[in-house]
Amino acid sequence: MITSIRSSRWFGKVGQKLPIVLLFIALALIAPGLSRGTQDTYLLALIYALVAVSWNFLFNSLGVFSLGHVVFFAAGGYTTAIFVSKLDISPWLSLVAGSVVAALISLPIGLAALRRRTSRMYVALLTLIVAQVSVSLVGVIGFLGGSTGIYLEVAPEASLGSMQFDTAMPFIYMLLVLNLAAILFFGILANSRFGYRLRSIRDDEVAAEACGIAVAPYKIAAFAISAAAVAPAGTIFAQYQLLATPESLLSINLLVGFVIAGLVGGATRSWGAVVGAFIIVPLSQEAGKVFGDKPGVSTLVFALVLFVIALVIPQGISGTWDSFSKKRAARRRSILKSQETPVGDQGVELG
Amino acid sequence: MELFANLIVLGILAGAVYGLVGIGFTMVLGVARIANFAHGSLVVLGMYFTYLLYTQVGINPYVALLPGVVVFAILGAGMAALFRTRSDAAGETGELLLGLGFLLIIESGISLVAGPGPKPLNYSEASVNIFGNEVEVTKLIALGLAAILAVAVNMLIRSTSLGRSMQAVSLDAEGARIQGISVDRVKDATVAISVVIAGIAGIAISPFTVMTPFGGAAFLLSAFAVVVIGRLGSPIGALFAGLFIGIIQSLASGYIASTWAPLVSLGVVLVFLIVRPIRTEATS
Repeated sequence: MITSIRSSRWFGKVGQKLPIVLLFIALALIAPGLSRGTQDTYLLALIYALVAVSWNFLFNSLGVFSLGHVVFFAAGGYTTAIFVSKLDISPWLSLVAGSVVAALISLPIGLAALRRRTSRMYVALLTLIVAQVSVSLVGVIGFLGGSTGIYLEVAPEASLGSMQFDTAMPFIYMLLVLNLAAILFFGILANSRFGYRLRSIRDDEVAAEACGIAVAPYKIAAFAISAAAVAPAGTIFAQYQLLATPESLLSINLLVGFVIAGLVGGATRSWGAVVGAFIIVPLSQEAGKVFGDKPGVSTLVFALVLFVIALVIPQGISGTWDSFSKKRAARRRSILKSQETPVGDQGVELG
Repeated sequence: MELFANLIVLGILAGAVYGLVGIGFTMVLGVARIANFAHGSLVVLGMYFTYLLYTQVGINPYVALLPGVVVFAILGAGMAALFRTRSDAAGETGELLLGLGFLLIIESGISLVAGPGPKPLNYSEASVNIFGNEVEVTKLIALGLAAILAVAVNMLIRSTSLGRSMQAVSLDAEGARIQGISVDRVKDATVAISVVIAGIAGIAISPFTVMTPFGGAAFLLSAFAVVVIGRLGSPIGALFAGLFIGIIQSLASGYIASTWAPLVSLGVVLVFLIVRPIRTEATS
């Protein structure tokens, strides 16, 4: 009896995930038909989406507004650059090693920013500063190639083993898989004991502590998990560009773009990040083209989008969608005059 | 020993800059509880403002302080209004986004208008000899200005009715509201004043600082360091914290390597945050 309940519940959860899986299958089917230039944009959007998914997890589950995820992104990129060009190790290993490096880097930041009860703006401020300082910091570290960065050694021929390909398609497939994996992973994590505890910390830290939750380790662990999940995006980006420089991996456009992708889509739903990335990346690229590729233009576009989010859709697209469908459900209920199923807090569930 | 004395002098002069930048930031963070990410970029904007007036119109940088205060007061009032409408509707996240938006707009705006390259002002290289150190007069003026500003803002906070309202709002915004203080107006005034101070800081340091559109990050870091080390909301504390960081950085760059200077401030910030975190209530 119990097992049957379990399995039906499990089946229900899989059923919930089905639309997302279908969405990704559709995305994978569209990709080969696109032109080369569009594929580049497509790939970039998937990179943003991957970072934004884990940014959203942190923001939604813990209320932490991190502006430092670009550092963890760069950690992945630099790890693979060093693996390929200096140590002659397979880039596939750097997918894992980059995550480890990113998690290690996140520890002192998490310790400083999250150990005590600090307000959201201090975390944002500190992570922004860490991200900005690391640009000049990487510039003076000789091992990381200084400000010119590291050029990845080009393999004699494009192959799976060297993670270098003639087209963007293999990277797109990898990113689709990673995105889907990240969405499912964070969806499960958010609905696990760990995720519930994070949300109780987010809602009331004192109460959570009083319930016996070790607040600081949970916060720092969540930060590290989110950091580790970002690194593979950097690894793939560096492999795709065959380049790891402070400019290519730590630019302010990436820093802000990741956050915007997450917020445009909305943090309450896991698909929000993907939607957000697929809106914001083409938008900034087109704007750059229209205004003649001046260096400041795409940044300006990001700034304007920030204002739009802040002024018009603070909840993001998915949040607006949720409140819209909540309202619609409420209206339908009032018409039917049946009050049996109150609409729960949909903002909590990832999936 | 002579090197040490030299480094101290240089450190104090550099620290004056940090203090100048930090005074406004400590106010906006301490009283209005807004992390204005654009604070460093506003300092940069002040520098370009001086550059524009000096190279195009020929106005002396110190005379530029007068129109500068007016321009930045208007700018500050506008930013305050936006911050307020946002905190009403979208809370802290809205404020963070707006701050980030301001930062990006100022940075990319300057780089579109003035070009991304560095620009020197070439104003005056006159210097005096202090302890065997050639010290530019303009740096001494900045030091003096930092001290005057710290004392003036301190007086504003302690002995005016606006200042006392600021203290009340900073301690307990809800309580202040119940006592009949218009919290919104006090916060607006604080934001505007901090923007003006950022502008003044930029104008004051422009004669001896090479300006780039993206220099705001370094100023934001030093401003944050000043806030973390000095007491939140205290201008005098900000000045001394600035001097402290300046001296530490100067010693580090003199005895270790100058390229590590930004890392020193970051390290100091992290150590201070881990050892002695800022006392704030969690997000409400």
